[in-house]
Amino acid sequence: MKNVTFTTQRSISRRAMLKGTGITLALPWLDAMSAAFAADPKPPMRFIGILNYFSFHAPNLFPKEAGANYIATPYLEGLQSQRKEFTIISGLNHPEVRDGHASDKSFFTGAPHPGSPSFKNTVSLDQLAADQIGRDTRHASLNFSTSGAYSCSYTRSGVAIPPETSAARAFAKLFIDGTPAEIAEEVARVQEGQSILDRVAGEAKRLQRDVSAGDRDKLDQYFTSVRELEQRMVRSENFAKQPKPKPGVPVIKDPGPGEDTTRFGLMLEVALLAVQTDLTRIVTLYYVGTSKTPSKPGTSFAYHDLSHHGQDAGKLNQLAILERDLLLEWGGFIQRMKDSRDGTSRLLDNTMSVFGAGMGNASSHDSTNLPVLIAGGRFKHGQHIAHDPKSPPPLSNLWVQMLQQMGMEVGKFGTSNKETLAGLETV
Amino acid sequence: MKSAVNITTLFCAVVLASASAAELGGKLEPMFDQHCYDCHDADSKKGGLDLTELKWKPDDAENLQQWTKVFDKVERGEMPPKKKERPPAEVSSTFLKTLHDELHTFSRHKQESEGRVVYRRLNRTEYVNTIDDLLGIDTPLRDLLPEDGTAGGFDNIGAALNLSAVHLERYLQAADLALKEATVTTPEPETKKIRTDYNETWHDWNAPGFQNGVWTHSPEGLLAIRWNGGNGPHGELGAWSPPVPDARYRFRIRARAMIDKEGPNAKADDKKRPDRHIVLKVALADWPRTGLTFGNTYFEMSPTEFREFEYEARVPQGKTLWVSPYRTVPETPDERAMVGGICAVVEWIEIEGPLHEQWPQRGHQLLYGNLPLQPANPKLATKDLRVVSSQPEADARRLLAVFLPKAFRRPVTDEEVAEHLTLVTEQMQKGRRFDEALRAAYKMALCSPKFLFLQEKPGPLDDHALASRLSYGLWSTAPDDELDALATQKKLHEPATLRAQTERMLASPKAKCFTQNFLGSWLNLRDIDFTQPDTKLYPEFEQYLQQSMVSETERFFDELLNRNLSVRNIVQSDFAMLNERLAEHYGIAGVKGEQIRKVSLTPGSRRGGFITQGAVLKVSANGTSTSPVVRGAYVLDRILGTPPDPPPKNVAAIEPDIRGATTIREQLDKHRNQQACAGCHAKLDPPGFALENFDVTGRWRTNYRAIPDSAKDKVVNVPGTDVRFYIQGRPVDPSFIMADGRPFKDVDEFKQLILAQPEQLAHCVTEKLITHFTGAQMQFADREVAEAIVHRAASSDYGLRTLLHEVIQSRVFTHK
Repeated sequence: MKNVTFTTQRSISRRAMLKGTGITLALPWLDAMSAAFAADPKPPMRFIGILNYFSFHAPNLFPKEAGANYIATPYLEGLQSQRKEFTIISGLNHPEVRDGHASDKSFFTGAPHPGSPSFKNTVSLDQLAADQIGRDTRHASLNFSTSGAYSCSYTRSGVAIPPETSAARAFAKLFIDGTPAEIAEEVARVQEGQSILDRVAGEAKRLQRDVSAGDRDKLDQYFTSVRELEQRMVRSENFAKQPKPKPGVPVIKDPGPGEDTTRFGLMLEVALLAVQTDLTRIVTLYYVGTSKTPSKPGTSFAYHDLSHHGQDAGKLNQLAILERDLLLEWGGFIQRMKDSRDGTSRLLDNTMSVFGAGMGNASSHDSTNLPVLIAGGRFKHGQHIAHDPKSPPPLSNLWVQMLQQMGMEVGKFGTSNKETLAGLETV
Repeated sequence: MKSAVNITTLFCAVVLASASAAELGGKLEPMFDQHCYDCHDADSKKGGLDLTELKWKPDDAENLQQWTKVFDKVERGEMPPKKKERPPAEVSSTFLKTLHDELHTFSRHKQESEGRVVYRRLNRTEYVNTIDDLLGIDTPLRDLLPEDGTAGGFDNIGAALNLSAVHLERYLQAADLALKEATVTTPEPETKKIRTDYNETWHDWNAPGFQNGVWTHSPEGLLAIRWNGGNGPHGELGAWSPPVPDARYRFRIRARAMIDKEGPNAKADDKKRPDRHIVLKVALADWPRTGLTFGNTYFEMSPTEFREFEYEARVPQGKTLWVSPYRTVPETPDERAMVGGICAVVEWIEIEGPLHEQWPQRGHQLLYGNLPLQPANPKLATKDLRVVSSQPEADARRLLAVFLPKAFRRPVTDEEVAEHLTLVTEQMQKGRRFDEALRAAYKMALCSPKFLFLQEKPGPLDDHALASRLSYGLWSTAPDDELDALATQKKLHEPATLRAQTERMLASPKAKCFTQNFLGSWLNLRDIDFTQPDTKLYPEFEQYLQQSMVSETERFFDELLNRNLSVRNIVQSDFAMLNERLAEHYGIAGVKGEQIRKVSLTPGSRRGGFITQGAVLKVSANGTSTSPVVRGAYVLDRILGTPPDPPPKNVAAIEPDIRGATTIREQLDKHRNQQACAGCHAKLDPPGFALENFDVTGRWRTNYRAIPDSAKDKVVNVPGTDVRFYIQGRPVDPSFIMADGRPFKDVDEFKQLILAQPEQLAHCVTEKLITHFTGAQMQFADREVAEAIVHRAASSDYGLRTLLHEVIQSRVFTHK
């Protein structure tokens, strides 16, 4: 029989957070459950973070006017049917992050000096959230990249998480049941772990009989850890045995090399499906244009080359096509979240999506005046929040605000100095 | 005079004290009553201490700490404060003797019944080394594991090393990875040697102009990698990736330096000096390119002749070789080291690998013996192999009987083997293969507390426990076969054998773990990367310098240890271990090349000893500014062995003024003039100020550097770079007065004052050695051991090697 506990805004002790053990918040949110209870418990808040390696050409993106009555720029024209669902923020940066392409490493972490040779990163906000919230879903988080070794997500020890670079492979992992042999292997692996833990716990108990008081305490710690891990493994085993959800769409296949925008769109689709089926609540996606020329008519250069336009008019036009397409993909993604039900709300209301870049100007490698777009998450949207590029609040203030929207008791993150980003309000 | 306190409430007779509670109280009361209660009673409670309420409950760690502090302060003469009346000699000596005996007896009793050391888990370094040595692998497991807790700066203290579910989850994962890495699944890969060069490299940048912008050519027509303006060199060897990833490869590179006179980045000065030596950087890098490099190594290239450089590394998937120019080597102290226009002309690169000593590799042989390898699926073309057995139970038992004693670092019983065997049987019954089932049992062993913790029982350590302690102390890994054999023969505890083994182990290359880990803890070199000197204020700081600084301190320590030099050298020495880069940084002439070597210092040179080495000066600063308080605390704790009390909670940290308007001396002045602060600062400030002439990179300075306030500020041209960002700030004034009143005018005079008491240095190092080698911090009963060691070492002028041997021969090391 399943035990169901609900997300409460319980305070999470700092000790628990630091130890990374967390506490059980809730079992997977299932639509069926909401009807069974009188009070309508709030569905969990999801996070979808997207980073664009080549940034956006600022004059085409940032409106001249601040506030709710901004006039749509060329890039924002295609998003006007979702105008009320997103906010465009300009002027922000991360303090002490002025390191060209390396600035991307700090986008979701806020760690200073990412360009320095012995830089050690800190945890990205998605992984901080995944440590807490991720336990309750089959996959703690999904981390995508359109190309290669690049990742925008970092663990607690500052290690970049190897991303998934194939939408097709991700789709298979999430939705296609393994062969009976594969499922059996995964279950066997988890059961082996449980068997091991059970035996070593026994060893610890036997050792305890023979040792001094101080040593007994340490063995107790060991014993407790074993039991805790066993519980987690039981959950893993249950997941392993469950059939994967059926998304009701045809199997996704990868596009050819160089079709980065298409790849990007497919990854957004897989992300959406994963969130809809509650396989995960945390997704990051790193858009890295490769240097293969896409097949799109009108483009004869690859993204990287275009982003280093040096103000060449021809290149700027092609760049505009590529970048507008990216934003259109995102716009479509937002629309689909609007149209999805999640409990009694729209999925968009229970999902925060942020789309930004680590540089404000990829041609000059300037890491100030970063483009940041946010949708969903029960924030007040439909406006351009314009911060002064010369002295904006730290971007990490936004991360703190978002982590709190996810129900986490976090007062500081990265180089934040406040718990909300000035200008961004919740509904 | 305060009211007499009811003696029976003062003491709980919990402990087996040598005297009865009444006797005890009687002996302490005269002191307390006449000389302490005035300030330390319920009303005044100076320093937060109310002695009238202080009960004797040493089982409570905090209570024990308070009583120890009371003892120490009186013993050192710090309490009563100097301004107060001195207690008569018999009162004072009775008080001290009584309290000393109580504390000592309590501590000793606890040690005898429970031991000094709490069940001590292997820390990350020890875990990885142990697994690597056991299985003959070289897998990067360290980052998988959570960071270790520390105590007193040491990361191998049993009481501070906790274990959580996260640890166990990672241990399972790590064991899985390690066992898979050690397991052979392919036929022996051919070790090939290929020769390639950069002309074969391709980039995925299509734009035709790009290649020309990145590289150039040498006069003899070879490709030259160069600094390309702001984008840095493109040193990745894109044409090659490891045929077998995660294996070791040996690279030989034939290259020479070149200054590109015609390139866009060459400057006027460069053209005059095309014969500059250039530092070559060799590393691994990501491919496709991210610009990140790993395992950086630096060599010096000549501009006139090709030299061969060798570099060996484990190459993971997605990485390739990186070769690039790094910086020029200035010939004179005021010549510039620059990067514009420097090139590395690479003639060829030879790559040998994957390298392996034997096949199947050592780890595989340990795990599976000589059991045959057969194709996993003969019907398929794939070459995947796996181990099979015709008599699984017998084979598993046999192999476990060999593996378990190695893993557990002691002989095992038949029951222990049987426990693991049941897992093999169970797994096979569930349908798993023999090799999988066997690996499950190995995983179990590697997650057992018998593997993860040192097994030590109160009293004298048995030989196997002694072997482990010695091995983890000197090599940060499990005992080797020789040590293990001596333990089995029960000979290791014999003093002569213990001494001989210590000597053998110190002579081994594995002893570099001792140097690294001990210095990492003792001098906090572990945190060398914790701060980045501000690039505007300290533009001459870079990675090659930092690497050199760490090597300097490690090699210096090795020299003291290997030649048994006196601990006086901690403070001042007549030699230093330098390479050209360090000599340049310190302003010492005549040192050439990237190799660290012993250099005699001229008399009066301020660079002798640890405390004026770059690495030490860097870790005791914060990257932007130095603080005499931080450096003072560092010296008091690590060099003099008298750590200061923590700062009071309501005092804010000082904001360094990088505009340079006020100096830190002026800001700290307040402390000297307030009685409540003076107590600690009279001791903290002197060493800190003595070192103020050294900036955060360890460079000597006579003036502070500051950020210019406006465009009008006169900006200094930094020798050694092109850079002019900071202004010359206020002058440094290092002069000060020691706590005991002796004045000094600079670091040299300060050093002489400390050198007057070498036994204090010896005592401090001894305590640190005890902490490192036992995995527990100093306790009260250990003091007599340390004192005896220092006393005996006086005759050899407190040689470092002598102290080390003394510690290992002492009761704190040979007992739990």
